[in-house]
Amino acid sequence: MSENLAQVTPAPASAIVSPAEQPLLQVQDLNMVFHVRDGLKVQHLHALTNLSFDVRRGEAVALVGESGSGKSTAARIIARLTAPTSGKILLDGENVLARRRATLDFRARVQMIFQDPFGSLNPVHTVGYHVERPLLRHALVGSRAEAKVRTKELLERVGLTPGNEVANRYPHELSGGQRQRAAIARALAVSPELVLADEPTSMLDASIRVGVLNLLRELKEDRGLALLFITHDLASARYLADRTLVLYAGHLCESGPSGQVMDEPAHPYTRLLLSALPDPRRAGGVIEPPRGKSGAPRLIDPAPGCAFADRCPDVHDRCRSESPTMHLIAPGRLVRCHLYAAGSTQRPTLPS
Amino acid sequence: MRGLLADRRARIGFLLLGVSLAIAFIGSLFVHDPSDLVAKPLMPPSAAHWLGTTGQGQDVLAQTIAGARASLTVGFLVGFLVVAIGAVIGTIAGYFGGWVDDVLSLIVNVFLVMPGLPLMVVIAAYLPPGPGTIGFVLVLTGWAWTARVIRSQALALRERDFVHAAVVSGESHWRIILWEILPNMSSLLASSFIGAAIYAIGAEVGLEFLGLGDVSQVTWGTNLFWSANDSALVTGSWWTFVPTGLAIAAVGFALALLSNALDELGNPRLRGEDDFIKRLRGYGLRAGGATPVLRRTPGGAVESTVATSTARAEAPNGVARVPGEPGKKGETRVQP
Amino acid sequence: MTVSITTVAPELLRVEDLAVEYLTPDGDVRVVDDVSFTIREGECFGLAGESGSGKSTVAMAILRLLKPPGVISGGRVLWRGEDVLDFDDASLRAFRWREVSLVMQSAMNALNPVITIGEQLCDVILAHEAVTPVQALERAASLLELVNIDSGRLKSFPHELSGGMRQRVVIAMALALSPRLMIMDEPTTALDVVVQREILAQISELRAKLGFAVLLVTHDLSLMLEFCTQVGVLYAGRLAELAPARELVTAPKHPYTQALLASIPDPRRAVVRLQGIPGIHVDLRRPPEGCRFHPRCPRAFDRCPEVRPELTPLGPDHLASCLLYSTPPATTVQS
Repeated sequence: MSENLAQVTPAPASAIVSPAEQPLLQVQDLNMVFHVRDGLKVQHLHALTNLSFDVRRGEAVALVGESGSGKSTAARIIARLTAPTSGKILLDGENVLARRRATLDFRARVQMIFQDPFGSLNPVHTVGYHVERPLLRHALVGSRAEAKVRTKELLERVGLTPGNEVANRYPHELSGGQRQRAAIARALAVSPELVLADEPTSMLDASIRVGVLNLLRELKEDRGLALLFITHDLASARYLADRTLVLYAGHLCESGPSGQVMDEPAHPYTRLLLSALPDPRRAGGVIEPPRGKSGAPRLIDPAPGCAFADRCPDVHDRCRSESPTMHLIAPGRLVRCHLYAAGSTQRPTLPS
Repeated sequence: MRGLLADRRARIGFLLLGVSLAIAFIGSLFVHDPSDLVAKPLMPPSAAHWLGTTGQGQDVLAQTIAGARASLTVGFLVGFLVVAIGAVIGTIAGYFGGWVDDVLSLIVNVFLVMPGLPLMVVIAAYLPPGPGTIGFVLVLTGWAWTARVIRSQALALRERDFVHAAVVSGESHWRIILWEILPNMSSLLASSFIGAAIYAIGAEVGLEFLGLGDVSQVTWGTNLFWSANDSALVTGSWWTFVPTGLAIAAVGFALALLSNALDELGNPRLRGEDDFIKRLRGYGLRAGGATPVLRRTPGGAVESTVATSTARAEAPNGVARVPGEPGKKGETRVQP
Repeated sequence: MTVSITTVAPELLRVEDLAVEYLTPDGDVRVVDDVSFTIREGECFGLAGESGSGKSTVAMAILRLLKPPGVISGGRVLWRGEDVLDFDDASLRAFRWREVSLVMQSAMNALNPVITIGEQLCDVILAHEAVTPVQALERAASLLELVNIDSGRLKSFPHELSGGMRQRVVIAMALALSPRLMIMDEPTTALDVVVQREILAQISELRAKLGFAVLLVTHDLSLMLEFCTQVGVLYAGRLAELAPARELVTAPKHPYTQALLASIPDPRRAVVRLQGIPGIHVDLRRPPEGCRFHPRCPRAFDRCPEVRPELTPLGPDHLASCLLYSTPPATTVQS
């Protein structure tokens, strides 16, 4: 990373969008505070703080973070399964949260795939039922017979052949990877524009994972589908997503094209994550401890300043008192860290 | 359903229940009108009257059968209503949560807290006596428990991903409740029904025995009431209450068997474990200690073994030699 | 003339043709089929495989801790020359925990929530050693220090510690009796990547200090390759390949290993389109004839469905069970 970067003071997320094309999804200042009862006291758990990002049509964006980062909460809010404490979600410029209940039209445009392949299919219904229902609900077909034909096509599109035979099976008769494909077929039934995938491959074996990721990528390419891929696995994020957003303790730390974020991580947390990942090329060597402290972020009544301060190897006094702001360090590259503040010459000390 | 019938206990239960229902509803065609005075009172069982006569001179067999019709009808109807009301309220409370749940749970809790028996007595005293009143009272005091149980299950199912997926697909609440959640509660509903029916039959008999029913109607409870009233124990006329008692016990037993079988259906692992323990015992080993070691001799010749059912030598280390099934693992091995 | 003498550490555990079956009412399923490997003193051995491979089953079978309906149906488990499968209850007791200890997945959730960790550590010590409670407490304190936890935490309850710390407590418990081998079954799966590295680095340090061997069972191949020195890859209950970790990374021989390594994306490298392995996992109730991998193997040929491959040596400590490497047989023996 060169030293003479254009240092622009706090840049809003929308600054990176080319003015010609409006993003499909714009998340603006999303906040989520949960009220947790601890005996008689009520505590405030800050799951998400001022989260803002965009997803363009046909783009795959990864939301990466560990448990407690808020990534799943963000997905559920965008899918309108949970209401946020505050913030806006714009679909083609229109704030969908302005309406109390999600419209059928919204449901046709934004779909979701879940983590547990078995849990996301109802054990008492056949695979075919799961795919037919959205077709019927959204009146995309004229008759049950037509629904069955469309279902067969969708199942075959996701690699479950022969479609009509798989449609008659129950979820427990399929393997994990097959169930996940069925869930994808269900999501595709309404021809959505955006698919939220919440850890879709975490519960699958490594050899099956790649198949499902490849399928998602193909679908993105042929149908111009936008994908928001939630994961804790940086490797899958890089494999599937064009852009990666790193979350920590409900805050966006860093974002940019996946390759750049992984090859030249700017935020100390990203660097820590990357260095901690197992590396088979280090086989036979000494096991290095991580370059940074472990520990869960404090989400309940968080301390002022940067949430990562307690663990950061590059922490300064300013980090504990002042919350860092977002800095644009290169076209499309944002980092939320005092190390990149205007006029600062400090850089993270961790090797990449 | 198929799985249920595979269980021997369930089959016995169904059979017993079926026989009871058949006797109750068809048997009545073959006997006297139970209210008819047919012979001398308190006659022991004889060829003319298989179960003897009551203190009034009525045929006990006819009364037992007529009683079955009345009591079973009330029992099953109450069971059904209790589950229906409990399911509606419990599912709505569990699914919607929030203030809906708060209000409904409050109502459920109030009904749960109300003392059943005194309430039954008071209400029965105000309304015209009869099985209908009893049924009403039983439903009123019985629905809350089932509602509670179903609410818990609905709460748990609400959080399953397939429900979230249905919401994201745009399904309406009612569609989700009826088609996604309720079908997953079928075994709970079935076992609640059986439990409610057992409760209803027992409670109904109890109330009528206390005289709170319409004593001029023939039900199992009134049979027992009259039997006590006519000092059956003192006169030694056991035939006036034993048949009814046995009939109640038989139906209760049948329902309990079905309930047991249903429980196991929901937990197939139990069956597998019993099976395993039996097999190990056949090899002279016990389960529950260290993992047993069973050495199979290679397929083909059967070696004489330690573990046959006649020669039950206790293998001290949990090791037994059993014959390999010839041809079971018929693999070709390459000799390097 | 120079003679190079490589000192090879003595054998600690030798598993020979281990077979495990599950006896179910619907039939007996062979989930581990003639698995053999050796672990030497001080070595870090990894057993990798996907779901259904039998790796956890092998680990549990060594300690004879398999739950019903599992039974060991063949082979030998030689611990320093003696067959564990012949041990009586008393010998097993001495064997477990003193000689070989176990750290299970989510072991941190296996800590009793109503007892302090100090008491739990003492319980383990007192159950196996004839020491006074005071001595046990001293031992417990030094064990905690071994895993970098302040001994003041002896009075803490499990819920007061983080997941990573709890796992370290469990490791301390596993080391309480100075075992020669520690078996770890997915010890870090439920932990985040940073804590995982911390714990594994800790174990590495302890190994260097105390000299125990480790058998690590995991589905995470990258983890195993970085952490272990010798690894075995299981597929459908059979060993596909055994090799030193370095060699497996640079020169995997078995088509399954090759395909598996090729289906793991690397975040540090530019994206290359990966294939994965087509097909689905083996149904162990009806496994394929011959080589169990052949239906999914890109290099399968006509003999693969007929002949079961044996582990063939391909180099020092490197074996693979694949017909591509077996010497052609003179006859095929039908059993």
